[in-house]
Amino acid sequence: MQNTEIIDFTLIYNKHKKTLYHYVLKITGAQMKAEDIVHDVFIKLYDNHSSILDVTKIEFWIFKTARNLSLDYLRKTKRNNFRDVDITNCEVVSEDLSQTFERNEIKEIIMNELNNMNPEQSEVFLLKEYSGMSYREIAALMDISEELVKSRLYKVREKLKTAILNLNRGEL
Amino acid sequence: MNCQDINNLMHDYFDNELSTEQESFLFTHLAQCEECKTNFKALNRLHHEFRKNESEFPNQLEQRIFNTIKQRGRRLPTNSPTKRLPNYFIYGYGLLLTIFSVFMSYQFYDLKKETLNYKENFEMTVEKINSQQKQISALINEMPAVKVKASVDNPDLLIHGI
Repeated sequence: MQNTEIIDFTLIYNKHKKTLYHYVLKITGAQMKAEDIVHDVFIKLYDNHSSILDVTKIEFWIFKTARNLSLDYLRKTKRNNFRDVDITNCEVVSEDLSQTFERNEIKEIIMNELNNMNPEQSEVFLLKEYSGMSYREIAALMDISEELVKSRLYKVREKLKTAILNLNRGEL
Repeated sequence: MNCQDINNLMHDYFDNELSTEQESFLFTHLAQCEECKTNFKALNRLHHEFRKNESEFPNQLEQRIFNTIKQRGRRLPTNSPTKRLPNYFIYGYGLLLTIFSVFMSYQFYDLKKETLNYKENFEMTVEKINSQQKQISALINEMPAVKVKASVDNPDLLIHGI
């Protein structure tokens, strides 16, 4: 690998490592497996970096590879969506106890809602939140139409919004 | 544009799919409509709370990735063209080269043998010609000497006074 390629790889790695890890963690719901998948994705990226001609597609490539590996894992373990996502996998920062409690409560509600949804819907939301890709890119990645991506995102957000409003009505 | 349309714009806003013009339209409406403002705040909270305080990337995973890359870096340069070729192609290519080399060796051996035979025949022929030439010379030399006596009895020549 040339020096410039190593620099490119490092930049891509630093930009996506955290979002990719949490995306895979939420999809698989298993920390060890998520680590294996993220490891494999970055090693594949390292190996194929020079053959990925369009650098603007690297983000797409990373999330597509991670998604495929995660779905393979779910198929093998006969699970059909992410479950038991540990909300305690959060860093404790110094803040008011009531704020921490409230934040954890909201997170718990969000994760419960996501877990109870159709995985196809929640997956679109996770991809959008973690990759930040456009409707078009997510549609291409999931092999569905752009309109369907938009519609699924809308439904997920509306459900989550309603849950938050029910929890904290009047305090917003 | 009613509140439902504004709600759609809110979703597009959080998906970064809203144009600047639509964005200013959205915020103008939010300043005037309490219900939409509440909905916007809820979506905003969802957007910010969902990923807030997420744990950092695990150190041991980072170490593992770097170790693997380090090992790979030693083993094989990633931009090597052979890396992208399937193994069976490389083995097949090697086998073809071997067969070609053996074939060419046989061809060269035959050619060499033929050249040597030709050279041998040529030398034998030259030797034969030389010996025949010597025999002819010897035969000529062995012939008895003849005295040639000139006489002119041709009447035509005599007429012309030659």
